[in-house]
Amino acid sequence: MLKFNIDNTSAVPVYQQVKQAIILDILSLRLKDGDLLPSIRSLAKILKLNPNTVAKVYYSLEEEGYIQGQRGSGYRVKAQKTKLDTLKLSIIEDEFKGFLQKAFSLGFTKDDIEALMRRLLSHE
Amino acid sequence: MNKEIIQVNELCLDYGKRKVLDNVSVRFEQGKTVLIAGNNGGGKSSLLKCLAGVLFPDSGDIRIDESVSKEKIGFISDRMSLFEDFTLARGIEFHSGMFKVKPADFDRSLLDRLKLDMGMKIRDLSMGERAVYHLSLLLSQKPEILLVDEIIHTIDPYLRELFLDALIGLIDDLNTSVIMVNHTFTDMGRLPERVLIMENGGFIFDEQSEDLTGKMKKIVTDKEIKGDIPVVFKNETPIYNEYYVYPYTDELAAGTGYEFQDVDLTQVVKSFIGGYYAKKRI
Amino acid sequence: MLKKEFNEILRQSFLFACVIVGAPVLLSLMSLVFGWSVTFGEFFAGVYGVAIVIFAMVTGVTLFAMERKQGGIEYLLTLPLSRTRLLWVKILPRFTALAVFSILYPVVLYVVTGGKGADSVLALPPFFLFYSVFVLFFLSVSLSASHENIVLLIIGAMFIFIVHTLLITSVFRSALWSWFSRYHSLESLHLAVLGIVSLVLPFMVAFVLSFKKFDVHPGKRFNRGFLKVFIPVIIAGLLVSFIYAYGVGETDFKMYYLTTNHKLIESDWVSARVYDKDGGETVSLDTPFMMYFPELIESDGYIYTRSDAGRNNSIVRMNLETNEVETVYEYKRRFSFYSRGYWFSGRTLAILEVDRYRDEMDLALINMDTKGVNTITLGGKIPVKKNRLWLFGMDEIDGKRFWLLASERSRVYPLFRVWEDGNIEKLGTTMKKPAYANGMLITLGEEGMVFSRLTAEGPEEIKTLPAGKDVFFHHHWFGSPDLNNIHRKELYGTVFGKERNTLMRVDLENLEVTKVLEAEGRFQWFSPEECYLFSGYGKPGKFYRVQPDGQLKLLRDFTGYDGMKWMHRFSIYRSGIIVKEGEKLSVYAFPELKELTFKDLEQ
Repeated sequence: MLKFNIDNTSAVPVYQQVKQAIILDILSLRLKDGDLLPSIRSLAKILKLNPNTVAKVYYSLEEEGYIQGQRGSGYRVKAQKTKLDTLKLSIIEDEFKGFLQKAFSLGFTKDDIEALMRRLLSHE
Repeated sequence: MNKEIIQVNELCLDYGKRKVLDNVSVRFEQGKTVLIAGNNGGGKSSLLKCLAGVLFPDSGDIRIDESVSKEKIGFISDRMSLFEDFTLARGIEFHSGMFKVKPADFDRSLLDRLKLDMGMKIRDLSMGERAVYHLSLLLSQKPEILLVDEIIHTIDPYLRELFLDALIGLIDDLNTSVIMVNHTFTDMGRLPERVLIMENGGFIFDEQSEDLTGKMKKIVTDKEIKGDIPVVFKNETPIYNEYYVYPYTDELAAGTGYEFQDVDLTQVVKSFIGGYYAKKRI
Repeated sequence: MLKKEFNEILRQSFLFACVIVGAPVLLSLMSLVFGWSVTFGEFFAGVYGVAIVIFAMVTGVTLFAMERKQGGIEYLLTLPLSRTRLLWVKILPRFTALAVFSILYPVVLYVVTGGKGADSVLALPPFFLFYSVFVLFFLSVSLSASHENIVLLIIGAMFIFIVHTLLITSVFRSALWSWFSRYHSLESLHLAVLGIVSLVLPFMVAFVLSFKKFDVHPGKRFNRGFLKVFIPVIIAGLLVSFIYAYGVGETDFKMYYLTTNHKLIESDWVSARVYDKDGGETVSLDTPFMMYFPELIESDGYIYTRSDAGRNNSIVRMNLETNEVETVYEYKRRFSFYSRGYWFSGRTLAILEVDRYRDEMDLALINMDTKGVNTITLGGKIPVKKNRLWLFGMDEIDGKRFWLLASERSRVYPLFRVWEDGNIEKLGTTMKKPAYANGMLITLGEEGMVFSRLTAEGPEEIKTLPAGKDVFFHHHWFGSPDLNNIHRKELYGTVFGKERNTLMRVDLENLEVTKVLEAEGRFQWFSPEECYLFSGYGKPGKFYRVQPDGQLKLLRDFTGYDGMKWMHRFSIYRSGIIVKEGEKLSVYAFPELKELTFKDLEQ
């Protein structure tokens, strides 16, 4: 099931952390398409969160298309493969952009980075 | 967004020369959970008592939304005032009768865990048992407004969690507005959505929980810091100093070049309280 | 919440019941040990009265005591009850309990005294009780939130009550009298009104209003709010009360008497005034004239009356010509006043001094010329306690004087003869008030009117008349002529019926009883030629003379007068009549019923 820790010292708001954790679970297929998420109340109790906070997470996820809420039966994961792929790509892209930024700030050139990439990939 | 359930206007209260409440004004939204923290004697309990109608301010007024009847307001203070000569059973019967709770609706889940004899007198309960008992009474009222003053720490962690679960259920079912006075954050899980800090009868801090860690940071250094930085509190240790900064903005980091570290919520509250005591020493 | 309050008051009531039963039991045991002569019933009545007054204060002052003790005031204030409703819920059960106990009080007294009422025991009179309980309760209630110390509050309530009473009675002097009076006159009403307006009202109004702001804060803030309302209200209340008391004092209960020489005596409970007709001077006296007691007698140019002025009761007399008042006799004992202890014979005034609680009695013989007093100690042989005693006759056999005494107990009155040398004889009994004339003792029993010759040895029955069974002799009424003349031909009396009364004549020579007249109204008899009938109760007032043959002669019509109305009084005296219609007072003199006017008198 879902398991994640909330980092109290992080600058990221709680609801953001929870949202991201759920998204990660969906992307990594720990939560599959059609799976029933815990009710707002249950999740709130597990994480010791305010139900309003959990509700905010679910609404947000619903808005962005990750889950679908049905009256009376709760929220289900709505994960289409194509969408997930796009999402995964964008996440990796963001991570890579971050890496590039750091590398450039340390003084590496484009050629240095390309050489590094090739060396690492050939080992895989 | 949500409707206002309690409106506090310019509340003033003096105990002799001491200003317990100094022109306090605040609005509470329906369905939100609020934590009021601060140093001892800052006025938190008095404010709560005024909200409960148990204390009258010298001036100012409190307006509670007219849709909330008195039966739907639950209040417990650190004195846990009850009629001590009542047996537990009589206490339940009395409270249910007064607050129009049907006996079938009384939720005994918390009480049952304590395995108490219903025939014993309330005065014979330990502090923790009493807190659980009183909270059970309040929960059974299905309150729309719940006012809780500094008793959470008297309950053991196991029961505390049960209580929080019950509270979560309440908020989910009834959209209960909860105002809790407490020193620490950790007892409460992540329930409070808004944190108010009171000092000298007034509010010095009022933020949404989710903005808290973004708005408060600390600088850890062994030197004195320079520049126009809003330091709330300085914690001195033999090795380094911690400067708690509020409100934090990104421009501040860029402008001063210091490294700002994240703080957790308990540190937020502690730093304000520490700041108060530091001021007093000066 | 009401249930909780009723439970609390039930518990307090139970304690109260224990005290009112327990204390008398204890006292009765003590009286057995120490040889007191007070019965359980008397202790019970006495304790009950005092206990309920204390109970009133305790229940009032402990309005919030239970919550305070249990630390539950805060909880109480969180309950969904408005402050007003909270007060209501608190006060109602306590008031109910007090009301129940108060109403039981006269019942208790009735039972304990065998139907004779409050004044036969040493216990608080009902009016005093009702008033005190009511006022003290609300006074205590209004103080209950001001302080936590119960003892302090009770002392405070008592103190305020006493101070207030002193204040009121300094202006409205009759008030104190009315408290203890068994005549529940207008005084009692006035006092009740004053007490409520100037005491209960300010305290309760201030309390109820400031209670709206009652909270867990210490009492100082509440007390400040209380005083803010209280001070103006009590000033207003006292002002209204004093004005009222002065106004009412003017129409204080007054008694009137018309002397044989047409002087009008007006008296209240503390002083009197003598008005002379036709412009004569008005004289004020320090002593009151107790007109409605049997001790008022005119004789030998004096008017004798009992005076309650000062510490002791005394007999005073006023010279009908000079208006000078002198004390004839001072009672040594304080509870003599339920005995008609007068008898005149020649120059001797015989007075009964009775202590009804100690079974002691003296016959004091006062020589009117020398003022010397000869006291014969009685007591022991004649039951005194709780009985009403009176002298009804006097005579002399072989140079030895004796007096005749009747002792009123329940249904049967024992009769005694007291000789000058202290010897006491039983003479038998009577069921209604007896008479003595022409050497004959006249008693009433089941068999009828019994005539007995009274010799030195005792009574010898001569004749019994069944027809005379229910005759009430007129000479027992106040204002009747003095009966020193014990040699007479006839006595008159009335037989009371439901609608009509019958005037009867007792022929003392032939020992016959004849009916003179049956009519609606009240008969007043002084002599066969001075016999009157007045019908004015719920009917038009008509005043007649009753002729010896039974014929009525209408003397005057007093339409407009109705004895049923408040403050309407029609009094017939030997020299004339006094008609009081509300505020209006009219005096008419016999024989023509000419109206008399008195200077200075408000008529």
